[in-house]
Amino acid sequence: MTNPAGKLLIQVHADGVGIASTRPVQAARLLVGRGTAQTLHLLPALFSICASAQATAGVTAIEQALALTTDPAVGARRRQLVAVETVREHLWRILLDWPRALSEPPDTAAMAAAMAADAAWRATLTAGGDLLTPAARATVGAAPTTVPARLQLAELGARWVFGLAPDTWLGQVDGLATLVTWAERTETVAARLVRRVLAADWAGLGRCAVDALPELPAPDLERHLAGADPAADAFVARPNWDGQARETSAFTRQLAWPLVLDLTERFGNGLLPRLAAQLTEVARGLAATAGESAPPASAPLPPGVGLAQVQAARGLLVHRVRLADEQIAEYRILAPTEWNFHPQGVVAAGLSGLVQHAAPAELEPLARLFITAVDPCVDFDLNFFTDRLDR
Amino acid sequence: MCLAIPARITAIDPTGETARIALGGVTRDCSLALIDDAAVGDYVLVHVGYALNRIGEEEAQETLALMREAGVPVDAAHEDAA
Repeated sequence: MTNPAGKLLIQVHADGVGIASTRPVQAARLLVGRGTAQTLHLLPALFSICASAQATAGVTAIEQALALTTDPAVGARRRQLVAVETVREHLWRILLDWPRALSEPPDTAAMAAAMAADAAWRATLTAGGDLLTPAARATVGAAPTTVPARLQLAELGARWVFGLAPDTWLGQVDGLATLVTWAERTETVAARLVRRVLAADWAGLGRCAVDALPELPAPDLERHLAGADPAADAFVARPNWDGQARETSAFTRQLAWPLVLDLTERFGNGLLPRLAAQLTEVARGLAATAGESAPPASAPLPPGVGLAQVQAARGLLVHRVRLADEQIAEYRILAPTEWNFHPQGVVAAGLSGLVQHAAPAELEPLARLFITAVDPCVDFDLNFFTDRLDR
Repeated sequence: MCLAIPARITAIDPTGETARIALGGVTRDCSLALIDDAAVGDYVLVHVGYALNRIGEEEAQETLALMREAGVPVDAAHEDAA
């Protein structure tokens, strides 16, 4: 079976979990020899699921390589575009995948409305100029009024996810006790799933010892990604840091948020803290008080090289480019799915523990829920080779 | 690195909920639940079984050509491709 977008092949055995990938992780090679304008046109067309994050990473890396300064206002709007895309991608999980864990149909009507509201919000952000061209300062008009577009999606989030305004939810739900209170009073799929996870004692399922990816110093990352070295190709296919598999995801981004922090102290990096992190990230993206993340620090790199680190929906997205005579000489993309679905990564380790503790009848749906809570950006096949299913 | 593959709608079921799409040399079904007013002949981006949005034929062909160049097996897609 061939899937052009690639697939994750996850095999659960009695003594461990195997993960293989057919994702085209070297696809960025096709950019070599092209000009920067064409490259920036192609990136969102090719990698259209996270097009804003891919385009932002691409233009930021190329600006660095050309020694161009990013206008702070343009940088902030690019980060807003990525944040809106992140909300949409999490809503996909919540509205289309979470219902399956409750034997409910996916809420496609809600997701279709959310996608329309997301598109309207992003259109507001990009109105008046092309944010995603190098040194876009001169082409971008005054900051747009994004409030009505944000409120439209926030209203949908209130109706279908939180049962109340997202910023109210953020203020009220700050730990396990308040999460339980909210879940008991709310009739959304998110609240029903939280109730189910707690009632069935699934909150800590999938807990494992894989650490969060630390901040990556640009010079160290450059050493891993530079040149035609096969080791660099291997790194983008199966990355590790200091010899250890690491995680980069909504969960690791929200670790310091009070709700996620409290749940993590009780359940480690198990299922419920992950679901709560996705809810938190949606609420923070939709809330009136949504703060802007700081622009990433730049570091000295060799001439003609650009290295962008963007927090995309599923974790850290890295683009590394080297230009020669204004053409792409090297291009590599390091995507979060390769960290999280590493053969020794958080999904492999988490599923190994989950298999030991889940009831046989619930093993497969729980494994699927855990995998989608870590959130791969492609489809996956899940197969069991263990007699636990038969007991 | 998340590719959505362009595919052409070849038929739509009477309910309007699912479409038959042509992807490479193979056809399969996908859900139309997330888009409005899809028509036979439209190109759509397909991701995990859902049509996401319509794109023009020229853009679709350009994207497919790029994917072929990148070694993405768009012409060898089997029935699980969407």
